[in-house]
Amino acid sequence: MTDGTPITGTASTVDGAVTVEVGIGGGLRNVRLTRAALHLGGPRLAATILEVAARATALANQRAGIALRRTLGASDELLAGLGLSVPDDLVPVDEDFGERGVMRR
Amino acid sequence: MNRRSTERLLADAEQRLRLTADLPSRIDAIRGTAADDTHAITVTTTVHGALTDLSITADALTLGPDRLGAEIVRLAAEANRAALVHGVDALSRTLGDAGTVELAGAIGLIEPVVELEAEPVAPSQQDDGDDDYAMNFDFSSLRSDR
Repeated sequence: MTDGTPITGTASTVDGAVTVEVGIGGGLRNVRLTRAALHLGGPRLAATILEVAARATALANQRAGIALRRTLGASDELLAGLGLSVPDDLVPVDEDFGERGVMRR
Repeated sequence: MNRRSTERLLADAEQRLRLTADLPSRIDAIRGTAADDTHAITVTTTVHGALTDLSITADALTLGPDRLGAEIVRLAAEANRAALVHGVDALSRTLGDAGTVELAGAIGLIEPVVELEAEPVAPSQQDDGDDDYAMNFDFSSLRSDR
């Protein structure tokens, strides 16, 4: 399915103050914050992390879905049953998934 | 097999179908929450570990960016584990006791159960096990399917 590297998704704020990396399903692997991120204050920083994590999760799930469809012929229903949802508004439409498999940023 | 036992089997099967009908939505709705000692950071996740809620107080910001990020990741893993325990609990009515223990082992909540029919464990070995699962999972919620 892959070269052994875990499938992940990473997303950031435009200014790079918050970067979140997650595994399939959305489990947090890394949260990188800059000092500028702290200036947002607690509530806004929390909301930003949630928003960035949701985008990273959608990306990881999309990549997992592509890999599972290719190798197992998994259906949309099966993927949804596995909790691998990919909200349309959270994944860029121009994501490049080439012949060699899943793109990693 | 007599008529009574056949009817019992059918009744059991119908009961299991009723229990599994809304299982996906029940599992989707499960959340686990974890907080640090001072409740400066509170994290809530799904059974898959996805963040659904996060609270960061002004005190938490004093940790600095690196430690704050690491603490959120640590608490998210803890919340995920709590959600998994709730998930296993929800599945226990469908899986029965043996299936529940097997699932808990398969997802790392307890030491994996390799052979359910293995020789009984000696009492001295039973006391040496990891208490984490017993601490976190309510065994009284299990219902025998036999």
